[in-house]
Amino acid sequence: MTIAANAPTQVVATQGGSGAAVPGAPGGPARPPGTRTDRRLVRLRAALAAGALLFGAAGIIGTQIRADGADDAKAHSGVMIQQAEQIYHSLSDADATATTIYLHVGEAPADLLKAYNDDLQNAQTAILAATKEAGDDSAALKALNQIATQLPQYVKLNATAAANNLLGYPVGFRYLLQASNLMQGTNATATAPPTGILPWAQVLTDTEAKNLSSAEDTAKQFPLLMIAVGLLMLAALVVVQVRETRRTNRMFNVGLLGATAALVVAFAWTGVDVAVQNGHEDNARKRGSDQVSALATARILSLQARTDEMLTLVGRGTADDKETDYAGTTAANGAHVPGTEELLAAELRDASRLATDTTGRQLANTAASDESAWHTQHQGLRAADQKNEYEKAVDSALGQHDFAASKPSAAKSFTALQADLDQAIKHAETSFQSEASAGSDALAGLEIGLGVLALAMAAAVVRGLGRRIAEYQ
Amino acid sequence: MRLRTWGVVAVVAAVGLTAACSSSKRASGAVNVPRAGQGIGSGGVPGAKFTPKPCGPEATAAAWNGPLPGPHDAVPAGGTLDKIRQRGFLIAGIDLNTELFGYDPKHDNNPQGFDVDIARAVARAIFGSDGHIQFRVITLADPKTGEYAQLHAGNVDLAVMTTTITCARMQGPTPMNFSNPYYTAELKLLMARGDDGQPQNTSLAALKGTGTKVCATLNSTPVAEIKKTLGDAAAFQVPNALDCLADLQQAEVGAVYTDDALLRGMQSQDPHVAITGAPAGESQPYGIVTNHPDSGTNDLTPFVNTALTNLIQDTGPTGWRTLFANDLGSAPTKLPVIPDHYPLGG
Repeated sequence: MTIAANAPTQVVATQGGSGAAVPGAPGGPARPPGTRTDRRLVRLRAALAAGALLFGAAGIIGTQIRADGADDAKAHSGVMIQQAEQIYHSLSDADATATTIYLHVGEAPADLLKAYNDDLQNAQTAILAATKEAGDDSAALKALNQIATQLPQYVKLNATAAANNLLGYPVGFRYLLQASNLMQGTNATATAPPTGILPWAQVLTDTEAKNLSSAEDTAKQFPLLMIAVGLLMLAALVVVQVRETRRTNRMFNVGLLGATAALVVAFAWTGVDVAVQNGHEDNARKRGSDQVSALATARILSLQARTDEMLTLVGRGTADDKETDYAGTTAANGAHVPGTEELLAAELRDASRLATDTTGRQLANTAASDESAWHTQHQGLRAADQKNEYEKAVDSALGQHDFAASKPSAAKSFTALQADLDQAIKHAETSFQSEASAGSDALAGLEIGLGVLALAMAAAVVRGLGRRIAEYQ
Repeated sequence: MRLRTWGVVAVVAAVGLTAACSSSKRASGAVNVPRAGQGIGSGGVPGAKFTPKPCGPEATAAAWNGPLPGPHDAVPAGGTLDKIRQRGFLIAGIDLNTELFGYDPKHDNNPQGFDVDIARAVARAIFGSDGHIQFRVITLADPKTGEYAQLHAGNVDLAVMTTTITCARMQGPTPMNFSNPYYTAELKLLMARGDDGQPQNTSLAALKGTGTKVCATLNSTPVAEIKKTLGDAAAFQVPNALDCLADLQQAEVGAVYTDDALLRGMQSQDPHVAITGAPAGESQPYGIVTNHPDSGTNDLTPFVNTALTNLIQDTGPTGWRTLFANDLGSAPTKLPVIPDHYPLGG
């Protein structure tokens, strides 16, 4: 309001000096009371100037909200969801690796030990980063706390399993199974909270996916207030101009016309930026949220399937339920509960469908074909185990002896699948990041522009009507 | 002495008492609580709820009529034995998670243990030489297909895996044929050694009021006994008996109550725990399970029984006593006993 109060006087002052011969400085010599038209014009001028500034304020606030949403999608939620997926992936991989190590006779192979240690370290780093980023997000903090407090117990159980395994004591397998059950846990139901570690990682991922989605919605929020004020303003300007034209017989009032032009420019600028930003946010959601999440889910499922494969082999008949997890079950009445492998194959088909470019689709298709090769190898090794060819089954699972290096084996296909998924996820994440950045960059300058345009509108209104008022004096 | 009784019972029983068990199947009523160190899950026998009838020595006593056929002697055509002979090897179902009885310490498919050696002895009795055996690891209880589904499906000829002979198992909806006992297990308590490093003398009843949790396999007989003696809260149930050792080591429980056969295995994996000196609970006779024939003749159980009698009498390097001493670490103090009645198991 201070601007509104000062601006007219200044404008009037300069105008009075150059245009009419009457000096009009504030607090100048007393002049006769204005006519009715004069007073009406003064009030109209103040109202239009205030409207112009209100329009600017509404525009700036609307843009700010969208920019915050876009930044949130790019920064906070984006970071959180990446950390959540890092935790989920590292820990799933740690479990698959621990069970693979157990299947080896004697000392664990160095590369697997390193992979296991790296997984645990990556998970810890991600937990710390996510906790720092979480702020006062209590749902995320609770999930992170559950994961962090159970992880030492998991590590301890695995270490005890390994120690017993070195001595050839079967009790080691019970520790391994306890560790894996703690890691895999049970998902939340309608009545019970989740147990174990990974289900809490799932909670974290879900929470952050929800936050990301609402940030994306905010980023796309339609600037309603600005539009409403702008339309009222436009209507007012048009009406005033038409009436002034009739009254004065002049074709234009340059000031009012300028204000109208500024308003139209502000509308157009906002419209273009919003459309561009919406496009980027939609792409970010499509490529980022949807495809990354399909691929990330596939990667988790592949690791669970690998854990099932290993535990079934190590269990020697006492963990056959893990093979049931892998393969699913079909009840006598034909009701089919899909196993991990089926879910994995379906998720990879989704990832291929959701791909937005050729590279993304190719990567997903390669992953799908390696998955199918792995499944074939898996069935082969299960058949070998059933036929009492246990060593053959183990060799395929670990990719050693007759199944070493270049020959097809479950280990080789599984490793190839992991590499495919890593690459595909990296590709999809790059698309996501660039779209999300482009989305938040799209609004650059709009706030300042709207501010400047609003001031220009106010100034133009004051100037335009100032001339008319001066005519009465 | 006992040996003689054993043989006599076997011969007497051979005279046609085999029908005793097959005629007494399927009643309905009580929940099935299985016996054994290897307890089975509540779904071990899908949909099976029946009250087993008491059964005595006759239930397992089928014996071969006359001397056992040598590797080149004729066997009845179309029988189980004939089938195995033609195949060239015996398929034995074993467990590989029971230290000392059935285990594969190096994960190299080289099974060891007392159960494994008993199965090898049966194969030797059929073929006259070693090497005619294939081991399959089978699951006692598959929650979906029931107890010994592999055996019932005919994928294995027999199973030797610390299985307690119970009337319920012989009379159930998917009945099993059992041999006479090849090992008599007893319910014992496993605890940490005392401060002096010696086994304690604590009995199950002595734990009353101490708040000690006692571990046993889900739904097994020991669980029922723990509940009866110490109250429901004291029973700590796990999917596999060996989980009990892991839980004892982690101080989740204070004691393990199950068959001494399984406890011996646990004891050998941890020098700090020992079977307590307290008197044993109910005996758990272990038998060799053979596939109950849907049609045709099962002549494997009579053959196994007679082979077992010979094995137990054999004091040589491949006899029962030597196998026992080699696999279980100490000479047997008694031979397996055929009880007056088998555990009901229902």
